[in-house]
Amino acid sequence: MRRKPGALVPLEIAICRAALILRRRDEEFHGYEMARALGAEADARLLTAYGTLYRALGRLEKMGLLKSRWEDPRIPARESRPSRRLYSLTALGAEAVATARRAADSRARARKRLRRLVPA
Amino acid sequence: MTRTLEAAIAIARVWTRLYTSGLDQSLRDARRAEIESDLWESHEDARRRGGAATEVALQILARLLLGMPHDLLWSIESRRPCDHRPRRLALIAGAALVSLAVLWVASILREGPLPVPPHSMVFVASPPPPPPPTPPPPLPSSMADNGRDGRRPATDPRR
Repeated sequence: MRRKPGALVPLEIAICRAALILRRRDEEFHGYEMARALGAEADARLLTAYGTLYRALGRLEKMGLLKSRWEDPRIPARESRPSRRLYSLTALGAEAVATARRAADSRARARKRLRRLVPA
Repeated sequence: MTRTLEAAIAIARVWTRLYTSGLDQSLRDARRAEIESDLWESHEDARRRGGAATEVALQILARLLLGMPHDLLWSIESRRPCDHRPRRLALIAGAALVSLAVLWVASILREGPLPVPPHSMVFVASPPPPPPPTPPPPLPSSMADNGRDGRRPATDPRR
């Protein structure tokens, strides 16, 4: 099934929402950090799969909702670890989160109205 | 680091090398470095929290396996960003494979237990029936006449 251009799937919305929280704290995040954040939000023991997560991050970056940069190579060299790719939410991404939230709210309201009209 | 964890990390590295091979160098290196970083972070995170190495290994393998379809799709998309044909072909091939697997499983379930092979004809043959008894030898012609052989002839006793 092909999705509409610009439409976000639930995982992408969840990534943007988690990134928004980090943005408010002026923090960037790397892939594993995002996987942990998503796992904590969904209360899941199994983290998002590598392919699913990095494909979604790449798509969001292509859509302009996220931006990324590789950290200064001196930092991982000092800490003897691989280099991190750091992501952050763009203004467009923050707007997308707000839009998704409005859409979810209106869906919830519609469900409520429907429940009132059709008693169980 | 235990052997299980080492093996899981090695498998993840090999898979990443496989699906990124043949891609544009910058894309390929970026994805490999990103996965490498993720593997290191997950191992380090578990170490900090005192998690078991086997659990980390299982987590790595599960994340790897579940993400494989996305890895392949990403790889196909990255090879020809404007052409949707490979993606469509991959989807069709995947759907065909799944359908065949379903049909195969259904046919196995429908058949029930396997038929018993006709073993009695080959290996467990019963012994052949005994030969029919030999017929009695024919009487000599002299003994066939009535009375001559000393036996009573088959005549009416009233005579």
